[in-house]
Amino acid sequence: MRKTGRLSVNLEKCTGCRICEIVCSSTREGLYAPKVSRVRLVQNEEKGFDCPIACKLCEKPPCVAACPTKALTQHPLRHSVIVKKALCIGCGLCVEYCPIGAISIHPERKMAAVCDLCLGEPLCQKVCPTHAIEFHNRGGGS
Amino acid sequence: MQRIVVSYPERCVGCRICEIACSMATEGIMNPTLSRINVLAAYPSSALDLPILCKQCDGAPCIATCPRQALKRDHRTGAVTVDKWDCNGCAICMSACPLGAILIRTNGLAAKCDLCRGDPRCVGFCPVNAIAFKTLEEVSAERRLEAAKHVT
Amino acid sequence: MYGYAGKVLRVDLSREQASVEDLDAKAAEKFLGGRGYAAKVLYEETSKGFDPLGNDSLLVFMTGPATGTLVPTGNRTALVFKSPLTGGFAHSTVGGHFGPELKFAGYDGIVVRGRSSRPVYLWINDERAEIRDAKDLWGKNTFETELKIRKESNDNEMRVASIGKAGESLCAIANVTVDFYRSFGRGGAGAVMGSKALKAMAIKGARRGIEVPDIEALSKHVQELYRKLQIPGWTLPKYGTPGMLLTANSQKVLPTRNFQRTSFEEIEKIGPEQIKKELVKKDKACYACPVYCGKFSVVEEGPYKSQAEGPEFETLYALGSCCGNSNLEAVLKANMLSDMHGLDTMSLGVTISFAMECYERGLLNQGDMDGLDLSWGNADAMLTLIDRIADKKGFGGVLADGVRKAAERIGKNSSAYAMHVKGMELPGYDPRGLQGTGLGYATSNRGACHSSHYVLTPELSGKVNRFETQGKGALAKELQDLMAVLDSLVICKFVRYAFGMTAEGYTETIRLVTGRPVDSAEVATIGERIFNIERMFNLREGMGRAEDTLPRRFLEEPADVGASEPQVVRLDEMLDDYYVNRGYDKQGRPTKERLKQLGLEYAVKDLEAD
Repeated sequence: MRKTGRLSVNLEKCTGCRICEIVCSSTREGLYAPKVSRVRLVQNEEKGFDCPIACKLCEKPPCVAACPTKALTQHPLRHSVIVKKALCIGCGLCVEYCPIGAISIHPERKMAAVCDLCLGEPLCQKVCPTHAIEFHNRGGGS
Repeated sequence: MQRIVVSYPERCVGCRICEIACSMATEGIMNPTLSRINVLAAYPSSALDLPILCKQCDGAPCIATCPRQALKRDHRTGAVTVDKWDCNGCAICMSACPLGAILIRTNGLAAKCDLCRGDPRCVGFCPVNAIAFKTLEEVSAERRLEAAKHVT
Repeated sequence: MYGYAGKVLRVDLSREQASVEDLDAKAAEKFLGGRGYAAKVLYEETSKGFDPLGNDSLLVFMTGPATGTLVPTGNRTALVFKSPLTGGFAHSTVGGHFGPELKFAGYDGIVVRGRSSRPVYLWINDERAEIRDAKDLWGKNTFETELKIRKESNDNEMRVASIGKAGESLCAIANVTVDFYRSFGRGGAGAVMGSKALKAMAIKGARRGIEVPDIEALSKHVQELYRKLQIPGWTLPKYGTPGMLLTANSQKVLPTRNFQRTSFEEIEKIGPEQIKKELVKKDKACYACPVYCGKFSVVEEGPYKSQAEGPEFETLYALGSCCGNSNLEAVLKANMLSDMHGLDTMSLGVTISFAMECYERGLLNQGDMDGLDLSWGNADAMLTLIDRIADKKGFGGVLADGVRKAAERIGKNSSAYAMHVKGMELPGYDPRGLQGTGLGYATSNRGACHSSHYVLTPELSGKVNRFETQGKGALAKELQDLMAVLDSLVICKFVRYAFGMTAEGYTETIRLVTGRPVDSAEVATIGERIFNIERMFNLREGMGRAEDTLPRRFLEEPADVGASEPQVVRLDEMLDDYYVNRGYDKQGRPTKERLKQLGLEYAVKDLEAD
């Protein structure tokens, strides 16, 4: 069943294995290319933290507001950001306006790519070996 | 990876020094209306000031719509440049650009950010580092790093 | 090519040039990648007798087809070189994220030859490969080096392999630190890099993904492997490698005080429970690994303030029980110093314990050691000595090239206490309680090594009788060949608990990653081929049966290892049987026929060379 919800991360559990990145890229891209995954790991080896970052489904997404061609819209139920490929010109304003770096321009397709929650069944959450990624209903969860 | 002039809208204070610097570099005089970078004040809906300039789009609508193929890609810098011999000032590109990053110069020809042949002059003048000469990948990596720092 | 990136970067430091060549597809078929492919390159592109720290020395970094994929632990890189410690073949592998980054940059490997006249570092960003000036990095420790390179590149995601003072000083026990806390540990790779004035290698790769023939099928297979890795009661995820300390100690094979004893009376102070309670802050995993055996540990304050991903079992043995040291915080600090200076903790610890035994026996006095009191368990003296070893200062210089050289320098028959095989120091398992492991130590191509065979796995689990020598010849061969395959894929040997200890367990993974259907016989042959080309390298260097031996202590001093009576390693009962299994003559040399069977005809000339 397709759910609405939001991804969150329990940072104490993330081990930095990047299996989320590998699976996201393998499913969306058809090969193993974690650098174009829609969830991206940030590591700080000095402090020993690992933190995956993906779209937080802002209430008023600045990327959608900034898009000059109206290629970005927000899904009415899931609140995830949808990229209309026909309208996207790869200008990258969305990248500049996203405060957390969750959206990026695909290096080959030259179009915006962002987490869309796998349409309600997020794969990264399923494969995470330590269950560090959680999928909570909007309004609930941590 | 393509370096363009990227903006950090949360840092911009609306001083428009970049506009002055650009007009100096491209037109030889201080006149912000001739600048290829423009800062929009978003008052009153928000307090933000937003630097707007050409992003050298890969699927650039300006290149596609120019009837004389006067807009070309400089393969060294990756910038979209106006060929002054082919351009006739019809301004179709001005309408095609969804950012409004193209203007018509005093000589009647189209003008836009061309990265100053690879060393964009505006960048060094910004007093708050709200613009930079970087790739979009660098920007999103920085953003992710900042976001991670905030939560840990 | 499925799995592989298809390109190898060639770097000539003498000419300060870099070029790209195609991966040799035939070699990839025969040697798989990683350690195997690199061994072939080293063997073919060098000749007998070259100076490991000279111009003709090569550093061959090579990933395998599984590196960067979803295959569990598909993250490793092999480094193959001639060891300044042993004078023979060396391989070393590292986990973390370095290998995948190299694949995503578009390269399967990097071959470095020559040497630079000034300190340099290699900077790779996708297709850009630059040899950059390292004068502002030389002299900095590995942490500072990695941070500085990342800062200057404005890229927090660059992966860096670098040497510290130890490599710069050409210590034969210097290693290469990778991703801050991991290393190409064994054999002295750091000294080889230092001799080339190559301070670091920094990689950023974003341009390539890795293609496999049927990504859905591989993902399904991986899910199955994940299930197999959920082993009830497995201590590795919970405690990391320190979990092995209790097993080794209770089975009386934990080397204590330079192998004088086989268990440590203060084991609880440095055991897994203590570590988890006092030090561990968070679990860490390498790329694509669901086991997260890494433990990020911190001592917040005090004289042993430090942090590391560790300490690992081998470090807790080498700088713990082997030195009679029960100060856990000091072990973490020693770990951190080793990471920062770029020193192999295993060789370091066993060399220090050698010095401690010499001191105990009166072969050395404090004056010989710059005033250091190297009594067993004196952690502070140990920490001071580590700094001096990295600098080759005073007595540190005597020890900086490993235990064999130190014994030569000290004389006085101290070699009786130098615990090494072929010059490389022992791992943390006493072979007198693990006969087959002793055979593996004696015959491993890189010197005293447990991970190139892991005969200790069936011996400690009881699958085979650890006190018996029968059948160990065949077992050691089979496992040495198999581990060579893991080192060529390149995956982590910790997954052997899921993939299995026979060639059959790896055929499906190889097929799904490369597209090549292989059966277990072919997998075993690939492993045998790899082992033999390494053996030929050593034979060419003049190493043979005489070097397939063990320290006198193991052959002549019986120890209580939990058997009905104290044991020595009965190597003479195993070695000839091993040679027969390998198809070697009595001198430990492959026959012409065996080499031909393995497709190594061209190596035959080196058989006949003497």
